[in-house]
Amino acid sequence: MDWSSYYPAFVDEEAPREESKPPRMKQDVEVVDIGCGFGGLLVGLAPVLPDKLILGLEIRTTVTQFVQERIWALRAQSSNKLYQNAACIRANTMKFLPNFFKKSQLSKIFICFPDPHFKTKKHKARIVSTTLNSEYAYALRPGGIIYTITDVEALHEWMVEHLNAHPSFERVSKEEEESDECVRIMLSETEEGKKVERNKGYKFVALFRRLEDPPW
Amino acid sequence: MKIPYNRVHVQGQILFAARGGAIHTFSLTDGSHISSWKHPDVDKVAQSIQAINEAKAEAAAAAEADTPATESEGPPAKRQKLEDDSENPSVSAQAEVEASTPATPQSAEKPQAGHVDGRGKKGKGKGKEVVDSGKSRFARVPDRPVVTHLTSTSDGKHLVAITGHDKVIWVFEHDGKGQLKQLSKRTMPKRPSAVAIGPDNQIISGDKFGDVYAIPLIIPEDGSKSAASLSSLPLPSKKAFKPTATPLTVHSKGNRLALLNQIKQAELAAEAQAANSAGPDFELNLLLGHVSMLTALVLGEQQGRRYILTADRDEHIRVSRYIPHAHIIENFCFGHKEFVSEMAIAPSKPDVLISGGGDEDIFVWDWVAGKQLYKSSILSLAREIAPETATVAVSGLYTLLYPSADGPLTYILAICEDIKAIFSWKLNDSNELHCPGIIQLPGKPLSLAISPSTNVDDDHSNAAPPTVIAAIDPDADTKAQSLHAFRLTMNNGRLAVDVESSFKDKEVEANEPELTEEDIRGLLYTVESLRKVVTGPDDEAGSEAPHGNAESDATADGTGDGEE
Repeated sequence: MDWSSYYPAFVDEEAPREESKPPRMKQDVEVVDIGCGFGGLLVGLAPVLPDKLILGLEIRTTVTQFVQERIWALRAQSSNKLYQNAACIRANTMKFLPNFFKKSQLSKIFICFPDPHFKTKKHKARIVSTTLNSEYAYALRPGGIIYTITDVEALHEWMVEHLNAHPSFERVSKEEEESDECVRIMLSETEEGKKVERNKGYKFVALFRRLEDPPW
Repeated sequence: MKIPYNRVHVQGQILFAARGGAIHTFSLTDGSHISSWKHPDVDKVAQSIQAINEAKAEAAAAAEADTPATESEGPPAKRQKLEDDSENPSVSAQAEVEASTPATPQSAEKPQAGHVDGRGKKGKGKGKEVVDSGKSRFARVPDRPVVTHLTSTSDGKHLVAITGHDKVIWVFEHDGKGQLKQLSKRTMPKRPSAVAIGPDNQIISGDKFGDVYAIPLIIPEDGSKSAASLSSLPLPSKKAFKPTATPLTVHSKGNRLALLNQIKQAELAAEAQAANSAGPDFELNLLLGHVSMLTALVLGEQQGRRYILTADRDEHIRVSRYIPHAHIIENFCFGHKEFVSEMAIAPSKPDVLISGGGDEDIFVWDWVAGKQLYKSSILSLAREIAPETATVAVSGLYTLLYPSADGPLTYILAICEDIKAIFSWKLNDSNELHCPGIIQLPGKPLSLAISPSTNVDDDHSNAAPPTVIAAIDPDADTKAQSLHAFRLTMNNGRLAVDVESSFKDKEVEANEPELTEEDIRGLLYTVESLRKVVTGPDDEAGSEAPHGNAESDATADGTGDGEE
């Protein structure tokens, strides 16, 4: 995967260029927003985590384009080189997450206001599921954190139940949750978060830490 | 046409050969038929076909009596059942009544029904008409059973078979001499599409929804749980109904409607759930899952550690730990650009995985490292015997040891759907595929089994070469037998046929019912259909290919989520 066009400021210019390979990057993507939508969280996080590469994954082609343009515009307007660390690509995360990242590459995964898929028949399509959690555990390094937020209580319970039950994850304590800057941004900066705010709805947050794999 | 043998499996001197819904056992020493087991649906299908044929004859006679000659040509009997549907309940009672009918008659009649009275009534009336006309009095024939997988434990004492249409995993006790005794019949949540037996007597089975389950080979009588339950991931819980969102919930219109609907149907759903929540009544442990149809599953072992390797329709090969840590993904092997349908690990080279599918190449992997070692074109081999071949769909991958003076050599055998040959390569010490060989067959191969050469371990030079048993779909004109065995020989490092032998299956053959070629294709040729249809560039799901990660410069074609 050639990341140079997404994060041009992070291309390693010193590294020798190999013909067949894409330009080397100074660092890998570390923070991922699954289903980033219109990019509110990306834009909110970019200045807070300036030295981490943040990537939004979005399945809708036109939305992806919009977010990329939004980021380019912000980069151009920024006087102190902000937003160079944010980008968005079109991807079907449920199917191709491991195609993009190496094992243990990520430190944070955000799952914000995912499609609740109310119908029981569609539960398989939920972004948090027993079996998909293993893929998140693959991409996430031990100690890394999955952030979830939703306005649907039943989905919140579902995500908590499934992540709790997965041997690779443990719930992060309330105190730690409240002191996390990223949680504040997730609550206030996402488009869905703002919409819920306007409707005076509820927001349910849960964080999970990736545990070390057991020895064998 | 009779349904050919479609799956073969060798254990010791016994050949297990599945033919549609039946499993026959043969002796490899003299080719004699030993015993047969038949899926209970085999008889059901036969009965309902008979019933339908009788009804058809009757209806044809009736049609001839009161309609013009042209009417009785097409699907004649169907036309007039609008009137006399209720007059003839005996037939539909005999065969299982189903609201749905085969697509062809229904779609053929749909426009007609709409044309006749579709004007005045909207939606409902029209729909009813279609259902009426579709519910033929020749009720649908129950699905024909087909044994899709056959495997046995390494000690040969148990045989595991899968029938796809009813999602059942069958376990048989085998006396070592070809006699089978049915031990259990377990219906899985979804149609199993791959199976392997673990060394701890767990059946590991992947299904069409991408989930992989472990079930104990032998159901313990005391109901105790096996060690696999330690690795079990929670199955989605079935809780009592409660509305999943508040009216404050922000979401799409579709979801809002779904929510409304859900609240309306709350009681109904609760009732239905109560009825359905019985679930499986046997131990079923969910190990892992892909978000794609699972197509192949093999077990690997390295440095005393055991692994589950799974492949899916979305080009992935995943390496997970074995029970009890099956939730931990160790690696992926990226490189396939089409579906993966077959994988094999040669016991002589436990660190090397061979895979094939809809790509033109067969891949060789260092599967623990997730590294591609080599690939070799199978399409170009296929073109040597069928020049017009555009794509290949690998339907079988096998490994064998060929005795030689310098110790046994590892060979890989492959078959492709619709290509009348067996392809073979030598897997050399640097893990490359060399000496490509082609063995032509008198029909399309459906499955192979290898009877290993004798005395590989002690006396290499004198050992007899291995024998290949091939289940083929014989060409109509050659009158070839469906079951073939041939001893291999080596010619400049390439495998070739030495001596052919046959099986005494005249009796089995005689008892097989006749089927149309179309039916046989639908039942047995299922690999090529895994290939995805290319979607347009403006498709929401997109056809943009995510490129693999840094290590393997792999690509994968993402056709989005339009699958389900």
